[in-house]
Amino acid sequence: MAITRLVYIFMPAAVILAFCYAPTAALLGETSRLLYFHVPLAWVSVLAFAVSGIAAIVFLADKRGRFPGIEDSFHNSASLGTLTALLATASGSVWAKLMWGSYWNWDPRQTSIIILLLIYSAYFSLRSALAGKPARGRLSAAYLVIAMTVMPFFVFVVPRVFLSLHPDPVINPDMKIHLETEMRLALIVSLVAFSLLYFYLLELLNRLSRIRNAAEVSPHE
Amino acid sequence: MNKRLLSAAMALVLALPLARPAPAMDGIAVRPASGANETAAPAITEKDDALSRVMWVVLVVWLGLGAYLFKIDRRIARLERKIDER
Repeated sequence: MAITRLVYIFMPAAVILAFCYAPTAALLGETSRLLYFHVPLAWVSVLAFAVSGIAAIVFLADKRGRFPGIEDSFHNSASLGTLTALLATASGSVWAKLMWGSYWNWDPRQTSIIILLLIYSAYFSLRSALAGKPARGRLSAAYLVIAMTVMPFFVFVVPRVFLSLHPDPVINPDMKIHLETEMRLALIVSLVAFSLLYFYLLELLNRLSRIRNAAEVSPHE
Repeated sequence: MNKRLLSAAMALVLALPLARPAPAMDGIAVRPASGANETAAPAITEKDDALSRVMWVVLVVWLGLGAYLFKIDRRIARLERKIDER
C-alpha cells in the first residue's frame, strides 16, 4: 500500500509538532512531551494485537485457503504489537520516574501491561515449540484469538477497577480527548504517524515472509 | 503515490518549523515569575536550546531509521521482481 509511505512525511511532522508547536501541560512541564510518543506506542500495540487476533480468526475460518500468507500476517502483527508494548512500557517507566519518583511502582497500569506482555511472550514460546508441526498454525491462531479477547480487560478495564496513579487514558469513559487544541493536533498527527509506521512495517514483514516461503518451496532454482 | 499529494505533504512538513510555538497552559515551564523577568530570561533561552537539541537528535534518529527502512523496502522489491521472473 503506497499510503503507508506517508510515514516518511508524518513522522518528522509529528516530531516537529511535539517539540516546537505543542505547549507544555499544567504541572507536568516539559515531560508532557512524552505524551506524543508514549500514547501512540500504546495505541499501536492495541491495534497490532487486534489485527493479529482478527487475522487469526480469518485464518481459522478460511477452509479453502483463499488468504495465503495470513498465518505470517497474524504472527508478524503479534511481533510488532509485543515490540510496541515493550517500548510503551519503557517510555511509561521513564515518565513514572519523572512524575512518581520511581521507574516501577506496580501500579495497576504497569502490572496489567506486564501480564499482557507475558501472555504474548507465551505465544512466541508456543509457536517456536510447534515448529515443523502441522498443527502449528491452527494452535497459534487459536491462542492469539484468546489473547485478543483478554487484551481489552488488561488495557481498558483493570486500570479503572483498581486505584491507579496513571491518568485517564485518551480513550476515556466519556469518549472525549481532554487536551488543548494544539496538544490535540500534535497527538493526532503522532497517532497517525505511528499507525502508518505500524502498517508499513507489517507490510514489509509480510512481503519478507512471502519471499522466504517462495525460497523454501524452490531452494535450488 | 499521488505526486500532488506528496508535494502538498512535503510543503506542510517544510512549513512546520515556521509555526509559532503555542504558549504554555499554565506557565510553569515557560513563563517566568512576575518580577523575575531579568534573571529568568537566560534560563528560558537555555531551555529552548535544549529542547531544539533534543528535537534534532530525535529527527536525526528518525532520518536514519527511515533511510534504513527505505533501503530494506527497495531490496525486498528487487527480490520480489527476481521471484516473479522465475
